[in-house]
Amino acid sequence: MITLAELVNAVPLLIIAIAAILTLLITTFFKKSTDVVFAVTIISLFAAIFFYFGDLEKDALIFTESLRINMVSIMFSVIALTAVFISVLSAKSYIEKEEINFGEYYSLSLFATLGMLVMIHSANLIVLFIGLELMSICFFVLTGFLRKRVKSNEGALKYFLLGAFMTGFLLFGISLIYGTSGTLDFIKMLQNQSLVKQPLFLIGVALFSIGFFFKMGIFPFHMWVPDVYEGAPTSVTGLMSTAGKIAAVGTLAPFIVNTNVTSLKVIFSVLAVLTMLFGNVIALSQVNIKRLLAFSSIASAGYILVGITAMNEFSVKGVAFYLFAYTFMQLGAFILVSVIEKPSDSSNDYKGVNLDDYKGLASKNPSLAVLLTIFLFSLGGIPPFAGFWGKYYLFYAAIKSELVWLSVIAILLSIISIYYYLKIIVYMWFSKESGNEVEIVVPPFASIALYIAAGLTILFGLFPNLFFVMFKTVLK
Amino acid sequence: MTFIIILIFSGAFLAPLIYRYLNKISGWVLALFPLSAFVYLIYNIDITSNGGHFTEEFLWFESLNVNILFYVDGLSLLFGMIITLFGALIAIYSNAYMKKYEGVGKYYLWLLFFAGSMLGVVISGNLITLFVFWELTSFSSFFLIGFFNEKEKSRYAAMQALLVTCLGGLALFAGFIFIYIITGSFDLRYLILHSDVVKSSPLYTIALFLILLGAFTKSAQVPFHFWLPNAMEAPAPVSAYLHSATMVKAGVFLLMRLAPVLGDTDIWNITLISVGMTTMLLGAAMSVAQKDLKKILAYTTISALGTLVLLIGIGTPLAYSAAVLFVLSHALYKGSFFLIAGIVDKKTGSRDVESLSGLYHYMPAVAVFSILAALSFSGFPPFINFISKELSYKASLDTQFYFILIPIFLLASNILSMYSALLAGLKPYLGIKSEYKEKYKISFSFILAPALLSLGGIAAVFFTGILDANVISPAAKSIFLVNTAVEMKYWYGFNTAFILSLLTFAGGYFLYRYRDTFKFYNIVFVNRLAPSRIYDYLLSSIKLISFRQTRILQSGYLRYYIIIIISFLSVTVAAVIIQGNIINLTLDFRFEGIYEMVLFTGIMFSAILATISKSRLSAVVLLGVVGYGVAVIFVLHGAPDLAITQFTIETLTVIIFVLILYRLPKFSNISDRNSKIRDWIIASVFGIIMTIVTLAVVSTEMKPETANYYAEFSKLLANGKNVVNVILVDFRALDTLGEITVLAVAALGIYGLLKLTVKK
Repeated sequence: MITLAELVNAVPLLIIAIAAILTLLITTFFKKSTDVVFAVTIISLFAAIFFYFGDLEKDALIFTESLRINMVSIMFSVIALTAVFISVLSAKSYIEKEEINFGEYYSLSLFATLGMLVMIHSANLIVLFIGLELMSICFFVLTGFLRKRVKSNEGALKYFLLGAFMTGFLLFGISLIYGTSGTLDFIKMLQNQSLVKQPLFLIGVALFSIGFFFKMGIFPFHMWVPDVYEGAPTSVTGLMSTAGKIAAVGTLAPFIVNTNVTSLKVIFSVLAVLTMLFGNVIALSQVNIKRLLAFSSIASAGYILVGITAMNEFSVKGVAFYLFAYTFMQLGAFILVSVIEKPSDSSNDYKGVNLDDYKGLASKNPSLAVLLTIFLFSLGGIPPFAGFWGKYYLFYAAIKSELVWLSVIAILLSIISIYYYLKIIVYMWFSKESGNEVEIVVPPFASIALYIAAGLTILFGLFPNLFFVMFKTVLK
Repeated sequence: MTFIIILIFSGAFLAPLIYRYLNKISGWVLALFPLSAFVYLIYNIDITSNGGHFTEEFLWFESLNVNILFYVDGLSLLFGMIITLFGALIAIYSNAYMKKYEGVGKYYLWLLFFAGSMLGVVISGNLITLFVFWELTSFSSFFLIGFFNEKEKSRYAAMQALLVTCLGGLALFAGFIFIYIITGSFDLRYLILHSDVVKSSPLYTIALFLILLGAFTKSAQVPFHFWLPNAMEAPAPVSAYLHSATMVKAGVFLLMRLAPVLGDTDIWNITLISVGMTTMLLGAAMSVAQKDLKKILAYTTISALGTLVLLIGIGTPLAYSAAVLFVLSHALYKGSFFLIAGIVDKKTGSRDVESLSGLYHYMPAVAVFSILAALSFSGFPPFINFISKELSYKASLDTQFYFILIPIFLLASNILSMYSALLAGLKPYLGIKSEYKEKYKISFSFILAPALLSLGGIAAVFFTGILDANVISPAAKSIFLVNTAVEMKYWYGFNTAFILSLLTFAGGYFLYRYRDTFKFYNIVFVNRLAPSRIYDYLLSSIKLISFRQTRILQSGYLRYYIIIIISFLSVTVAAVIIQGNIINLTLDFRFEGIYEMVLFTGIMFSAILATISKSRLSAVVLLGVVGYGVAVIFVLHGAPDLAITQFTIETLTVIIFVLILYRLPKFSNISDRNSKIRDWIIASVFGIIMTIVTLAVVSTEMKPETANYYAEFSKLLANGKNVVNVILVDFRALDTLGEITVLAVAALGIYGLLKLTVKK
């Protein structure tokens, strides 16, 4: 039986599900309805966030114990929804510019969001898998949304093939976990302490984690990231690199941290170091800003893995805070890239996404330059922006678990990142020759999204504790 | 304290507005912000002059135990006064200097922003607060240095300065974290009380090393000094403010601040003395080979910073007093020098000391103040710098380290510096009148700051007592923690220190008098020595690594991606297998009759044939056979539902594949022999490992809890015998509802697509 209480607890998810179907209906039966669809999408996302702060039960299992509504899952869901909200807000003008202004764009974004929420709230492995696939399939399609552009198709195909391949491992992992533990339920699994000593369970957890590492972009499962981020429409890239990552981390981190499989720590920390090293070093030689941000997002995944590897009480909080900060800075940067990108033409590649196109931006459009500078400084982890506290929290978690060496390596490797962020800043501020002759028009919705992102990057940099206060007071 | 920080920052954010509306006097107006902060500090001088301190604390990031803590003692007060007073003077000077440039509002913003951050550094009582402000100084200085950004050199310099100091900043951060690991606190008050815990920890050395890296990069110590001369591309007021009085002293300040926590160990003393001595002498030596007025000043600043580090390294009360006094006197004369260099550059358009001469006739006032600054620089009496030179000589004579080497180094570098001082401060004004247009008009706001600073160098002498009691001694005491009892006197008697001073004057004058004979400009060794090259080399090589890595690991080919993924998985799973010792080689084949054996053989052969078949169609058919074979196994083991699904999917796959077969390009074999062997090895290794896992699964007892539950309760709860049916329509009815919804949505999507095709 489904009780009313269960439905109430699931209101945010239901809103997104209904909105997703509704938008698809509107698109199918009404012509030129994209503005309406856009409005429905924005309102439903806002409503979902709003209801998350409503009168939810603090810890509930709903729908025959398949979904779990608790503090942690609400926290990650809100972060993911915020990312989708800002991303969709800015996407309107971008898809108009690229002449792919179809209602399905919003519909797919909403279905992907539903997938994320299901995944984050999942209480057992099957529900988790359904959520993951729902999100992934929508992303495959969104990546190839620019049908006429070869890069976009290439990205979608690569993403799909590798994604399908990795799903196989994920499922194999799940079946091993089920076989050894006899349950698909997270809570029951965690009650059985002796499981951790079983090698087959460990292999299961490892393969399961690898499926998520693929989504997060952890070395050596990161290869799709630059190709797909470059090929996908820029607004989609922003969505994938933030919301997609939040969902993957928000699902994996609480599970792994609670299993506390210490024997996996070695593998995890080695992967974290390699990911940070690889992402940061390769980003140095990039000339395409989308690829550069892709590699920097790989490096960020490495920092997140440092926090997860710690597997202590600070891990989940640290990861959540980092992702929250990361959402604003990374999304802000991608929105800016999408604004500066030149309008569509028949070519096979994106125009106006090279670093050279950013030369002299400050003299042409100072406010954009200021915004990007804020995002990049924050990504580089320079105080007093939110990104600094995010990194600090993650490294702090690692130190608390006596992984001092890991956090010191992380700090030293993030020094490299300063260089490539600075390079963009130097291009923007100190270059007189202009790379982009076309005048940059900042559409209203994109600029609202940008100012929200920048404002929050500064706000949570100056008052980092606000994040925890926000969730604590509302969820009591 | 919070009040003055907020005051200066709000000044910064108001600056563009103030500049827009009060264009001509904006510098004067903006000077009021730091000036009022200065007055506030003077007003509170009583608290610190007795050796006391005052603090203000706010909660900041509760869940991480990070607080904002402002802690003001004698040392903070001295630096705070320099920062605010200079801030005001520089703003006034900029009023004249920055005329006719674009984006001056922005310039004022960053200037005051920098002043606020720098003030934040010196009054922080918590290492995290300190680090935050430290990084703020780095990036505000970035915008100030790069102000003349049309020049390529200027951009390079701004980037270099920020990169080097950011590197140091992060090292510093890592060092602070080590201190936190040792003590569990970032609070300076706590750390000072527990310095013995820090020093006896095994992590002390690494923490010290990282913190010193931060301090040395910021304070331009050899071998990180190269960014400072390059940063001379900055506007003159910026150089005067950042590169003489404040930012470069942040490293020195940090050393003084942490001396009670980290200091007084052999490794501390010896590292600081060695680095300080080297920097001091090399800086001075490099300064004599320069022609550019600002470069001379930059290298002598490096030398002065070296001296300060050396004095902190010596670590006696006398040395601390000398260092504190030198911070003040150096700020006075070097600030004045930089500002005057700015005036000369602005008016004559040249900074070349070789060609500048006879400027006295064109700008007499400037000449007087410049000569005063030069004399102060050289340490002549009655300038305040004379006392600090005396004290530093005395301190250098009175230490157990390096015997007599320290005073000799000090003497040599002072002689060389004095030559540079005379060359930069005297030479351009004396000598033959060169041909300039007319007498230069120099506005009041232009000359005010250098005048006050130069005169301050003498005036301070008359207030030695007050200065000592209220500022210098309390500051020295904050470093040494006990009353230092070094009385600042004008005349310490005719002792060794005084003889060394006399030698300095003689040597400096000698070099200056016979400069044409020595031809210092021709000395090129300094350029060869530049670690700047190492910096360039490091940058380019790391970029090269990056390019090569990209080719290997990010080739863009899907097949390589999969190879890497498979290899990694093989290694990981193999590691777990070996560690868990789960290899089970007791194969236990129990076939249910001969037909099952035939089936297995068929599946295996089809799979092998599929990999080596020469046409697509046969490969697909063979894979189909594998699929059907597996389905038959399902049937044999009593799972007809599953088998039906499998049959359907297999059939559908083959049909779809045949449909698109003719649209595919011609089948060709593109991999060569070697890559085939490689693929073969990788595939077999992975296959074997997965087989081992499967065998292990077979030999482990599984717990099919869920299945039991459904089997048991299907009849009881749902009154149905077919368990699968009951699950679908009853136990998991919700899933079925979801499935129907999914189908409906899919239908909707297909309908939309169909409409699209019909239209076309």
